[in-house]
Amino acid sequence: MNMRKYAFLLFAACLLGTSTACDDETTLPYIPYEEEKADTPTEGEDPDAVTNTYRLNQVLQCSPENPNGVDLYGKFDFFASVRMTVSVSATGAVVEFDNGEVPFLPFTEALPEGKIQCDLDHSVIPNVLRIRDTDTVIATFEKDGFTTEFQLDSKLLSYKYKYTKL
Amino acid sequence: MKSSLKNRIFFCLLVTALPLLVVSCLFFDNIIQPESALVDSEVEITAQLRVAPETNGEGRLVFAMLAPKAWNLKENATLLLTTTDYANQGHSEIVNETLTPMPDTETDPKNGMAWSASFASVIGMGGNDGSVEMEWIVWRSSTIFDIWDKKTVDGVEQKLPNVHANVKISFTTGATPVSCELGYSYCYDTYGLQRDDQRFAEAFKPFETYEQVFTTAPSVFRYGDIFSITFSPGGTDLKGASEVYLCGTAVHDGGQRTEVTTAGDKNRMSPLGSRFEKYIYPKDFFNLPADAVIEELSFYFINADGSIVVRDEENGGEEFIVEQAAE
Repeated sequence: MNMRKYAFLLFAACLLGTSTACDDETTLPYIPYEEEKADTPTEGEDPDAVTNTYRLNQVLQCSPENPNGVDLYGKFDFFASVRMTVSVSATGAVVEFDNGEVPFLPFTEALPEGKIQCDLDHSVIPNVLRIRDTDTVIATFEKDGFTTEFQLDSKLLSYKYKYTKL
Repeated sequence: MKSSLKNRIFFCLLVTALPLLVVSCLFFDNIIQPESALVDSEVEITAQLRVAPETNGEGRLVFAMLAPKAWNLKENATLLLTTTDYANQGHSEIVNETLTPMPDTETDPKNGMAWSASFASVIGMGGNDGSVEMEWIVWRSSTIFDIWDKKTVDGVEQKLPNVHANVKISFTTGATPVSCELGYSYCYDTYGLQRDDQRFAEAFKPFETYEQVFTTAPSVFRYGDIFSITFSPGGTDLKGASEVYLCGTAVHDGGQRTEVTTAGDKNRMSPLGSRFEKYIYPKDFFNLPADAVIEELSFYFINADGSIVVRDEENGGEEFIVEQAAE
């Protein structure tokens, strides 16, 4: 008799639980499941940002006798490994710079790793891509694209990275 | 009498107006040209042109260069024309238009001479004394330029600004060392050359080519820069070698020595005409850490198996020493 009583109580409890669960489910909003697409921006990224990746097109060494510059790009294999990714949106620009296998830095100081918040400053000519809230210019932007100008050891020589879209 | 007076007045007005029509309005703002270069090396020169439209002008650009005949620039030079503010005249900018050699049949409208002879006659040969045989080589644009000095906007006459253009000249110097003056000139093909009706620009600049066993470029650099080493094997034991390798010694960080002594992909030099060239970033070439301080650099050359070695014979057979600039 006890077993029958427990079985009845268990059945009644299950019936009650099922009924409650059904009631709750009907109050939730319908959320359709959508498979993530490859071009869906990851969480936190500005969906309106335009992202381009650049590689070096020219590496010019400008000297007193060659102010137009001599192209060093094909002289070293390591220049092919440089990448710069720029995401531009209404709120600013995000830059990722990968110096690849180049044994020197094209900046006076090491850049922060990963994504760097920048601003594309249109108020100066040429326009500059500057790390936000700093004076560090990553590149200038002209008709022919992004250019990073830097010096290594001699004050009489300057170098220019010229980028092209991948 | 009245008619005669009118003619006199017209003649006087015409004489007064003449100076306005003959104003020279073509200039070189600058000619960016190296003063020297190696024999058999590529040279790039930029001539910066300025046309001050003081009178209206129309015609193709005729550009000429005085250079050693042995360079054969008519066949070997490339000239690219780019304007920077031709758009102010209401035309599209010209970008990298290739100037083509002037056909031999074309003549200067001012004197009927072939263009090359006309430049030689009117512009001359500069400071060249005849020891190097020189020639004027002439090119022209396919674009017919139409440059106005004024335009009228809403009934108001406005003076138009200068038109600027760059002519980028690329060529390879000849195999023999020379010392000369290169000449530059340009005009319209519709006007031609005449000294007392000057509608042309002219400039001369000294230039020399040289050959050395061991050279570096650029003219100034420090050990922390990229520079090139060029080896001319003619007259050395490596003359005729198909492959040449750069070896050397770096003294760094308080006298430590790091050497590259054997042939490999990383130190193989690139053939460049009759010479060999290698660009290096010394810390990379000698595999030194980024914070290494290089104190001295010296180099020598070997063939693929290292059986032939070329060092600095003028310096007692030591390695060729590379000195860095003070700044």
